[in-house]
Amino acid sequence: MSPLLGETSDAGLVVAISRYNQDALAEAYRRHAGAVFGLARRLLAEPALAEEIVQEVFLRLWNDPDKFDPGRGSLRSYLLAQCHGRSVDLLRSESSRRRREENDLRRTAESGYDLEREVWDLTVADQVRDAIGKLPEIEREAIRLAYLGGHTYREVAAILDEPEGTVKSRIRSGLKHLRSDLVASGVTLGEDQ
Amino acid sequence: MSAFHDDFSELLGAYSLDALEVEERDRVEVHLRTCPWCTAEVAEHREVASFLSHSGTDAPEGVWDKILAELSPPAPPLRMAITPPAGAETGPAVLAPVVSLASRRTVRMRTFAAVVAAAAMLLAVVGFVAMDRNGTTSPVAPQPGDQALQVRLIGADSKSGAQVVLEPSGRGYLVSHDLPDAGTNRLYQLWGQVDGVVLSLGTFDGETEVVNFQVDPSQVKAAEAFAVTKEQAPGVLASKQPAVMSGKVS
Repeated sequence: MSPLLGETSDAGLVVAISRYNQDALAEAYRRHAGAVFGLARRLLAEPALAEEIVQEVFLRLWNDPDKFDPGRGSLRSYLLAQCHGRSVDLLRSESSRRRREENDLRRTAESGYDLEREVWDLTVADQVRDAIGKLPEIEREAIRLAYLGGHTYREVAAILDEPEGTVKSRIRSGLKHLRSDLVASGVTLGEDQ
Repeated sequence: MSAFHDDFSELLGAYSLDALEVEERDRVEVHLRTCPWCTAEVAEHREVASFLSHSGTDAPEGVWDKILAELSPPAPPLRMAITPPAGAETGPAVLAPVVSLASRRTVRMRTFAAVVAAAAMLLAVVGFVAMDRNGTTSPVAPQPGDQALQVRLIGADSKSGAQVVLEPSGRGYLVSHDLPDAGTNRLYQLWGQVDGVVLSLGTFDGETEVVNFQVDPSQVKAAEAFAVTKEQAPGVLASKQPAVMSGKVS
């Protein structure tokens, strides 16, 4: 592998990947596979399924690198969105329903589980925790259940016993609040590595 | 913006977190195809959501090996011959696989625009790299360093010619003073042969006197030959034309 690959931006890696540079894919994997696996594992619980998602996400990057548009966000965000969408599809499939219910039970039993624990090791963990902490509870819970629980907003509404329209708008407003708080605390969003 | 637009924008937060039912998701995706505002908002939401993910674990060992086993192989190399100019005193007559570094895949222009800043780093990543036609020329050739590789390209009349200079750093340039105008919708294309593989190094017109290119420094010593052909704009993946001028590394 070229030693310079380690210094190449994520966007540069994707251009190299588009030219069939396997070392560039390996470098993208080194940077982001942990986050992708972590999210898939969080959603699916089963390591074997999470591994399949990781494979799928990076093979998709290899086969369709031009689906990533650096003008619309970072590579990490793109890969995680791919991971999330695929994981949720799997989660919602009929065969996974029972497993999901078991996962929900396990999570409920975990004491102190919350969004903050998900970000403990990020370099910007403090800022993210602070931003999450400032959210009204319904926004925080709606985002947690939708993003990390893989629930639809209708399901979230049923779980929280809130109107569907309220949950829908609270997810959106919560994400906007998070964004503005993160920016205000100096976190740079949308920038690749 | 319309009430119709507002109906969709209310769904964007849930859409970004994959929290819509399938029917709603499909309707939003149809709307996104024509709405840059909503598309931008979805990207912002997803960027925020990516900060909520746990990033502390590594993927388990063995996953990368499975990915590697599934990777599609690169497209087979094209083949072309660099045919030396008729009557030239010297020049390579090689038949070699061609790797065009004009993208072997379609990379959207906006993607390229957004990664211009990464280009300098990328050059070394992909080895010999075709430079963009604009902005790759300079009015005056730099003085070659002591360690520079210098190759004289000789034309068909054995009088006209050009010189390729390749520095150990991988920085290279072609200096040409007497190439005529390439003609309407035609241009010159510079090729290099490295370790048996012919690579496009860029295109230029007859008025250009100095053409810059960049090479992976580790491949400088593997450079074997250079040639210039005249091609239809915007250049070709593999040339079928005889070289206007060519020269071997001695």
